[in-house]
Amino acid sequence: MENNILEIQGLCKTYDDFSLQDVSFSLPRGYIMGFVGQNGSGKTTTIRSILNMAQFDSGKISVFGLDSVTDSIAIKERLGVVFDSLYLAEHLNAKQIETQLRPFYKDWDSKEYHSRLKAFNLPEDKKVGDFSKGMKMKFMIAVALSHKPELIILDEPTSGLDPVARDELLDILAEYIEDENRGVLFSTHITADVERIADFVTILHNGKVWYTGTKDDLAADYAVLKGDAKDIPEGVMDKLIGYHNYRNGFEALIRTADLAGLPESLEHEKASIDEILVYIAKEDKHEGHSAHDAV
Amino acid sequence: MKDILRMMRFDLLSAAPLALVPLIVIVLALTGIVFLIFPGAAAFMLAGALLFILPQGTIAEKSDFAKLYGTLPVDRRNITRARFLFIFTCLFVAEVFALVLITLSLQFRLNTLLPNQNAEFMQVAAQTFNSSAASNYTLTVVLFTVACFAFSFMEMTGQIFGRESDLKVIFIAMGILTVIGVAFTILSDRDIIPAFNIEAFVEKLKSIRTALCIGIHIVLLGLNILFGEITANALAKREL
Repeated sequence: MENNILEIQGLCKTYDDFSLQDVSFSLPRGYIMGFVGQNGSGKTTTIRSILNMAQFDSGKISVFGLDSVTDSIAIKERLGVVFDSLYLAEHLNAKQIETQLRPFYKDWDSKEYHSRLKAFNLPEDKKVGDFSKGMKMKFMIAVALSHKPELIILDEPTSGLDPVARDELLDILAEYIEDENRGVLFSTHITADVERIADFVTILHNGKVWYTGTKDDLAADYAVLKGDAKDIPEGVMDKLIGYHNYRNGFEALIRTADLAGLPESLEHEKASIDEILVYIAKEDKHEGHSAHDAV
Repeated sequence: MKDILRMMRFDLLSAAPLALVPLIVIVLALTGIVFLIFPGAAAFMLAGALLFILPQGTIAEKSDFAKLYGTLPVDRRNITRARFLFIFTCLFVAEVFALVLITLSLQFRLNTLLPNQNAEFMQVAAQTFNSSAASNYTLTVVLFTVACFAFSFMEMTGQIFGRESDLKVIFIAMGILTVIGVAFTILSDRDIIPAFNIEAFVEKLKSIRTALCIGIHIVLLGLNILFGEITANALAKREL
């Protein structure tokens, strides 16, 4: 069995006004990866490429060791997908949707499906279009889990959900990944969700991978530096990311490796994923003084 | 082929909850008319088939089926091919049902049980039972032919150019038919082309009626498959 459940190498895809450039990352079996980035950074495009819904210009995508283009159908037998909005017949109820979908999957488990519906408190006789947003999300997960997928891909599953529904969804994913042969890739711009359950993080920025690796390494590699601008030693400005001057001083992101030798008047603290995204964006707006290369 | 059958079943189950009640109403109403007044009315059972065909585009758009098609373990081309076979199958089933109804209606002649047999209306109705069965069957086959071609053609243009083009296609088709009809009439009036004698033509066809009927169905099935392939090829290059 391959160690990486998902491998993307050198993925490039160009649209008129946007392009994915050399996107590469891997998701090992048994782990959850948070796929984060601003709106429009290329997360959905990447996911659509994985699902062979978008034709990419170059690169290679492997899922379960299979090629995402030539073995697309075999992959989808073992893959569960949840999008940010319902993509099932809204005028049908859960029973009718099961009747529709069951024949497509060799491993469809009706017992699992009905027990998920019960566990999620989803009525079987109500039209799914009449479900609340949280119920729709849970229903899509129930459908996705019912054919025993090895990998679940979720595209912004928590957007628009209330905190309780978000919490429930994350619990479901945490329970799902207890089987070490499975994997979860979920894209989101709600970084708190990533902080909570992800093991790996890939940050996408303007179509490029800014970081890919473990969440713990990300937290260890970057810090927020604060203080008086006058205290910044020469040569350090170029290392600051998303530099921003406030009335009482400055703030910027910096690699922890570059903290060595800085004056004590400058304070630093651990950077959250949220802060990292903000400073990356500020860097883009030329508020910073250095160009930070993508990973 | 299994995937195509699964997708046809998928389309059927998508439309069934919306189509069932109106279908029952149509079937009951038409059955009454067919058995009591006009056997040829069975041809309009094809309207029941349209209850399953017409909503497909709207359901797919409203329910964002593009995403679902991207996640199902089915070749995209088979999803498209299935739609065209679905159209043919729905209309064919309705046609067969109509032909069976006509046969039973002419067999049992239940119109004779109605009161006021001497009324003018009842006399006219009786004539439809006494006329050749072939004319009732012909009406059904002709309607099937027109509907099968029209709806599969519109499905092709709708999927390739967008559903908004359906109205354009209808107007263009009507325009072309009108132009051909007017041109034919003018040319035959001026003896540029020989006049078309429809009665003589129908008489000629009587001897090959059955073979012609089978041939028409094979051609229409072939056209549906062709339109399906053209559409599948066009859509395969597009993103979902």
